[in-house]
Amino acid sequence: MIRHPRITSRHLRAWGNTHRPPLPPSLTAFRSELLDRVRPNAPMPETRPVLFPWAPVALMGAAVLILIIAPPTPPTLTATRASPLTTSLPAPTSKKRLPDQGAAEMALALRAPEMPHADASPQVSERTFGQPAGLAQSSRPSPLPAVLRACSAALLLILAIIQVLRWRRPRATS
Amino acid sequence: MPDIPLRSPTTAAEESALCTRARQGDRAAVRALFDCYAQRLYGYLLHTLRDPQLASDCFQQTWLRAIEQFPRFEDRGASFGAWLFTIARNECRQHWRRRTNEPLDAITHDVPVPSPQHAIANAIEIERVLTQLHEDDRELLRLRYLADLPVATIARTLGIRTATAHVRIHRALRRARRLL
Repeated sequence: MIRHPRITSRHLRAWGNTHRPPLPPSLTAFRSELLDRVRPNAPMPETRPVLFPWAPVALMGAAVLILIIAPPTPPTLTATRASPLTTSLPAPTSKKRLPDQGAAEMALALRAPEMPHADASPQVSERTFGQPAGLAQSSRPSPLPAVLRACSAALLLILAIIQVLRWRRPRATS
Repeated sequence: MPDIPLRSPTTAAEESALCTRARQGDRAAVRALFDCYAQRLYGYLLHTLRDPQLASDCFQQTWLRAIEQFPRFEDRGASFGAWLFTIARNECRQHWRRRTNEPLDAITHDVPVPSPQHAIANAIEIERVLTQLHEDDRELLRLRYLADLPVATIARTLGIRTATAHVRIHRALRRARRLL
């Protein structure tokens, strides 16, 4: 690389000086016009009051509310209406039917509508069939609501940060 | 308020005081600011736009906009020069937006050149190198050596950090030397 001796800061300054010509007459006249536009003793412009940034605070509050007020629901077991005939009766032990068994079944069938739900307890059915037959399939809730909540809160927080940054940024000049 | 002749500001504190007075409508303060920056701004616009008439128009637009928006100017560490040259750059951009096919031919304006022969040769050589540089480098060197702005003011004008402006000017100079 060959360094040219003439292109230094000093020479660039000299070059800059040559490119700063005096103002043409039209611009000299413009100077007077410009000064006429300046209103002497003009009142100080009303300075815009610096308001507290409520918008980001509101956004952050909404994010916190989403996370706190609606916490992720733990998996709950909800008992459903199960037939007492299939859940509460023990499995038949012998092929020989007792004479009173038919009457008992009939009585149970007739009592079934009036029976409280507590009779069809999951414990009984679980003990009987090895699986909670009276439970709904919502025992393992989908993680989607929690993800949605987290995403919403994150989005609100990001918006709040943007608002704060915009509030702190100096105003555009033109 | 009587027009008291003021000298051009030499320090940032003086310039800030002038800006405060100018915002209150002090003509003398506006005149001092005008006299301080007019020639440099005109030279910058002349070299950027390469058309004396266009440079005059942009010059007037820049100052009119500056006076119009002076109440909005807030001295948040940015000098008046940075603010003024930002407006001027925006005016140039608007012009280029209107005329997308901007010719990049040789300078057509009449620039008074110093009489010594070597200075003319230097100016021509530098001009040739500048035309080969990237526009970003050319803009930096223009603001630094033609508009004669401090590096901090250039940084404010371009919206970059002062250290970054230092580095970019240094690199632009290095690239200019390579082109010779």
